Amino acid sequence: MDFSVAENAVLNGLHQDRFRIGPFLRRHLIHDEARRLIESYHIRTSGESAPVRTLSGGNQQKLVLARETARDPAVYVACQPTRGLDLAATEQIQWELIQERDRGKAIMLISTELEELFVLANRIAVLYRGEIMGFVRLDEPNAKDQIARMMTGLRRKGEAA
Amino acid sequence: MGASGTGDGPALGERIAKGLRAPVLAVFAAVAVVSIVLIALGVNPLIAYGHMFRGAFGDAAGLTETLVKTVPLLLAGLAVALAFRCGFWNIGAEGQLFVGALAAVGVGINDLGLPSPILLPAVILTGFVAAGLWGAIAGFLKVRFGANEILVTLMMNYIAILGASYMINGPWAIGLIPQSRDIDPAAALPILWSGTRLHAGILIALVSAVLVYVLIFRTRFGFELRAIGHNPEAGLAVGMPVGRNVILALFLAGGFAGLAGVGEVSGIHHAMMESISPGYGYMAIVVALIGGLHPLLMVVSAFLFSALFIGADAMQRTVGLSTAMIWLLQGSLVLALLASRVLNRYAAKG
Repeated sequence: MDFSVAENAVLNGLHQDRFRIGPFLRRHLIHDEARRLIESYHIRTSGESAPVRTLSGGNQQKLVLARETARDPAVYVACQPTRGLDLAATEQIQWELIQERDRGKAIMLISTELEELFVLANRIAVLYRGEIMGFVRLDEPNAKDQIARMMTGLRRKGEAA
Repeated sequence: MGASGTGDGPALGERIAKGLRAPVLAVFAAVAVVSIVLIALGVNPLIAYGHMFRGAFGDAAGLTETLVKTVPLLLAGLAVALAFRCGFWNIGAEGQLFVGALAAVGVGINDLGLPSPILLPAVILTGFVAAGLWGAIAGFLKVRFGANEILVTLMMNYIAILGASYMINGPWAIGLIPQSRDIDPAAALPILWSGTRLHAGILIALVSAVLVYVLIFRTRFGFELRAIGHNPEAGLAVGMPVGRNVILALFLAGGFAGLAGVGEVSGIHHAMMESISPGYGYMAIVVALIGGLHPLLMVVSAFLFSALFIGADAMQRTVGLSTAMIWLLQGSLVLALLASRVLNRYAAKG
């Protein structure tokens, strides 16, 4: 949290040669990258040199997402990505995740927010006391009823115990 | 907050001002505490401090002695700071210093018959590597077994110090004198100012400070160290080789403390003896903390700390006060410093 926005932005990217000459950091390129992420993800900060601590939770989360997306991973595991964020930040994070999905990325979203799951997910697995009760595709008929049943600990009909 | 293109964090001046706030407050608080004690002893604090100041800076002898003592304080301080930066509480600079000194004497007495031109480089290198390996042991034990590094490094100090004691009372003793033979003159660091004890170790210390600065702030390795120090889980999560980095950091840390030992052997004593270090490795912790773990600020803190001790010696001679006063000052300083850190944190939050 005491690291600057720029340092955080490349936390996972220093294996890339473009940020280094041998073991030495190319700080202007790191700062360029940070400014690019700040701009394209609308991160509100006083500058890429500001400590991450000074950012709001939403902007910190945006930075994390920006950083991870920059690496272009095939799979995301997002655990409560919008917990505690304001509406605007929540919507932006959700929109970015949808964008990634549409680019063909696999995203596992873990959330306690039903609303969020219904907005974002294609397929939902319901956990009850540590066990998966079953999977539901949101485009199925009665999807929400199924989910409600499973949330009470009933397994999905027709699935093995 | 200016978004300068090159610096990490706010502008340099602002950062230094912020970094110095806690130490300066701490120094004032500590001086105030010591003043109260001085008054209670019936000594005018201003006169006492005046003698201290003149003793440390007043003439060439005082100033060079201050620089001479800066060498081990700065080098051992770098050892502390480098380890602290990756979240490793290295209390072992004292032991690492002793191992460096032992290695320097072992090579420096030159039973191997090394040619003169390469003897001093060989002494410096073995001092660094031996102490580095000593430090890396503690790093390994923490990484591999989760051993508490404070206990490990502290206990390893006793092993190193008593090991040195064994060597000078046993195999290396000159008859009954607990002291090794003198090292080969070719293994000595050159004196920079004839008539004083100022030796080339000060250059090694200053270069080391710059190297550690570059390492911590300008390299990927240093970046990873700082990231690990702030948040080891985050380091692991983004795939940093946390364990390897910590062990390597401790190797380098030990190495710089080892150079402190080399400096004392090759620059000052030219032999191994009990009094090779009056606790430089422990004072180094204070030097590192007062310098905010920043290698370049630590040049200043090591110099000022050294001045405190040289000044205290002078104060003892002229005012007749015990040097225990300086330990009182050091203790107050550490407490005040830790307290001001806490207060600073509150200020940052509020």
